[in-house]
Amino acid sequence: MSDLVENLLSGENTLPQLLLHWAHEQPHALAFREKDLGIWRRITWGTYLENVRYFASGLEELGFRSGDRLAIAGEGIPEWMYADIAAQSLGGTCVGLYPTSPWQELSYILRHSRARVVVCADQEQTDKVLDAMEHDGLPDLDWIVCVDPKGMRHYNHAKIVFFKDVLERGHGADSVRFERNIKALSPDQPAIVVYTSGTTGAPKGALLTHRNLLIASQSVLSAHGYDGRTHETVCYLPLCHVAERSFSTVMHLCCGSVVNFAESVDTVSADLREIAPTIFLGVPRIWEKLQQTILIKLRESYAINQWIVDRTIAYAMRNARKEIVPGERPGAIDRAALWLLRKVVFRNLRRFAGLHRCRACFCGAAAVSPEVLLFFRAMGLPIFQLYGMTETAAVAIQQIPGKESFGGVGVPIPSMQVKLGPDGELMMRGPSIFAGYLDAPEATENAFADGWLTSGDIASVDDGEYRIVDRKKDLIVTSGGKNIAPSELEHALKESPYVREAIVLGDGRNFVSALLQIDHDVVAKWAQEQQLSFTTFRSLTALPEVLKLIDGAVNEANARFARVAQVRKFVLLEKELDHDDGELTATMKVRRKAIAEKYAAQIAEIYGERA
Amino acid sequence: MSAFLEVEALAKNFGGVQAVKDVSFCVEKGSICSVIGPNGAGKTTVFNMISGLLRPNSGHVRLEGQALTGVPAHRMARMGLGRTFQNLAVFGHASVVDNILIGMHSKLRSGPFSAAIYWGRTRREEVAAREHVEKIIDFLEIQGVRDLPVGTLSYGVQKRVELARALASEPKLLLLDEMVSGMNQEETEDIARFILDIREELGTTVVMVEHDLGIVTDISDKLVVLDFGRKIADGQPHDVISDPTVIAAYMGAEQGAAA
Repeated sequence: MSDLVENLLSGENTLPQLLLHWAHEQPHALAFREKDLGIWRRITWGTYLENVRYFASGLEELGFRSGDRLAIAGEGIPEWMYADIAAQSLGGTCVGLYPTSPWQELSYILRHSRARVVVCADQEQTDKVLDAMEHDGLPDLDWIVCVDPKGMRHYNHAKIVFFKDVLERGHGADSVRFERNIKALSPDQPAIVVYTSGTTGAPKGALLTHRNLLIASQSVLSAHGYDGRTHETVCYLPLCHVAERSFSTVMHLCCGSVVNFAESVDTVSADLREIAPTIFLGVPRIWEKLQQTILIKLRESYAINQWIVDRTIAYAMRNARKEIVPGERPGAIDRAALWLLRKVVFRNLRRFAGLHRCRACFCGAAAVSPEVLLFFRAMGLPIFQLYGMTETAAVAIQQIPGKESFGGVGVPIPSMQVKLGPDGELMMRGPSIFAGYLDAPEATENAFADGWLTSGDIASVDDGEYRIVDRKKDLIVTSGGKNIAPSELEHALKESPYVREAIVLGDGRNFVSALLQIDHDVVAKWAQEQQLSFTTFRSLTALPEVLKLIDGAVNEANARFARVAQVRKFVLLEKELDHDDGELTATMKVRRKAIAEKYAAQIAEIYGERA
Repeated sequence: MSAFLEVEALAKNFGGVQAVKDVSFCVEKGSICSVIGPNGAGKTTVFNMISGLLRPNSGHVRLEGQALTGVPAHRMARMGLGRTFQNLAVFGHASVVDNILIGMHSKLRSGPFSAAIYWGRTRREEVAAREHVEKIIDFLEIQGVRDLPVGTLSYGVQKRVELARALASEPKLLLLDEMVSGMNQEETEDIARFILDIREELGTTVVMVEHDLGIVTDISDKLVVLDFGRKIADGQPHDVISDPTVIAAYMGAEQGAAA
């Protein structure tokens, strides 16, 4: 067992090889749970392997060869895993596509990756691929494999086949040959291609090898002592993103544990309560939303209860902060009180979230306000921040017990070398760094400086713990020459439950301003309580009372910053930022450039210019 | 070969007003047929006569050759007919699951006494019913709300629950009355996709009354146009909407509304 862990830490293995290992070691052990007609259905490791083998052989019959690429579009389902590992077992690589992407984005990636086969979870994804074929041709695409045939039985496109038929084609396959193929795989060949979300320009496909993936994932598992007995997760984020791939696919194969697939995106909170996972990765948006849900539900109680709750949470947060601010420590009585609160009072909140069995929770994939994480720590749910990039196969720097100071991202994973460049840019080198961008040698070259991967993030280091200041290109230098990290301000603004998105501006200007998007649900609820009438999102933003409400939130955030870094003016966005409108990436990151262009008129107004 | 649904010379008077005059059309098995027309053209009245809520003054409705006219509304589900209403008709305080289970009532055979004992056939039947409900929930993608009271859901989702309830009785013929009015673009597209899926997966024949010409021309096999209680055209969607009488009826109505 420990041999295996050591092998994994050095990356001397491949994902299909690990599947063979677990399927032979524990064929009847549970590998997946999938909710079918409202009941959790169990899938064993033996079945996992069987399906991968059948699908791999079926793919081979369809003409899929070593070095080819297979794309997958859809939410997380067992078939996603089967197709992913099957493609790898043949020496191919797997490209994940965002289920929410409009067809144009999907088309770009299919074309750029020259995928031969695309697996579509349902009709919606298939229709997008068909649209893409109609408009862009996609000459390399030979097959569209559909998992759920609902609504497509009359489709008679020559390239469409159904997943179940591909499995069937593989039924008579030779398992000796299948295993020989897997044994011939090298840890250093690309296993997957992950397209970066593209906050700047077109997405680039990062090639990640088996070694990259295994080292990055096993480092997190080892730091928190996870193994097959203690690891159980819920797969609910898009698997095409490197974070969920690492936490579901790769960690699952490292541990031989259980992955539960969320029934649908709308049921995640119910699924969490039913499963109660022992490890949970949330992106900042998830944690923010969960905090809001808890706080808003508490608002519905009587005034006296609210007063007690507010005081208790404030007390818990004050002392929880002392636990993780270097050089501070809560006193003995406070420690005892906090222990008791977590044990007796906050336990129900953890249960409500379905996270009461979690050994560790994680937050990654984007910058987060440390106050949000502090809230959960106060509840007795320590959240460890993870820092990484697609190009580092997810986690490169991680908080671990004892190295979890407030606002930091922790220490590098054991095999990773990290240094700060002359301008403070974080640079990394190590065996989990990616193998280059697919068909973009120039971009690959630009990503490195003297053999070090440049992250594009400005960081600082204190006692071995790293802290991310901001994206290098987002740093604001005001016309007065003052350097400001917008993300800090943005986090402070977003701490208000009424503010959903904040974009701080001011580069080359004489003061700092912000574009704010209100949180529709929360503000609408507030407006109803105030008996204000409104119809649409836009009419809500136009209410003078709402403007005043947000002004209050801005002032509150401003109080924490020096005068020059305070937001002097702000404008409320009249619509919600949307992926389909090109303002957000598929991972809900803000595309600053697109927004600056789109809202040029509003920005000009802030700075008193004529547009 | 006789048609699946035959509507023959239907007429209905409300007092002195002739709401529907001599309307006839037929619908083929497994097709999607839309009844369209300006406000007050008599679409819903025709629908109510097909589903037995109103008795026609004259004329006949036949489903697979069997007369529907005169059959009371509560027997319709057993005849293989399911419908939704223009205004929401769901049980607001009951959960989504319960609403759909109610739709299955006509399919359940156990009486109150055997249900009280809950053994044997009754038990099997209840379990099968619950499973059937889950299939419909899966089909209409409403897993996220299955245990919530319907009254707390958004309009679009409530409509979907109503559709789910209509499907629960496994109808041969599904009547949808202005399914998409009041829905946004996305909800409308979802419903259009569901209607196509219902036809394809369940083989159900669909007749809908609709205001939204977009969805109608996209998914229907046949249109029937009513104006002032009379049928003014029927046929394939693109033929019908380019028919000058239809354009005149619609344009006239729209200009009237704008004035």
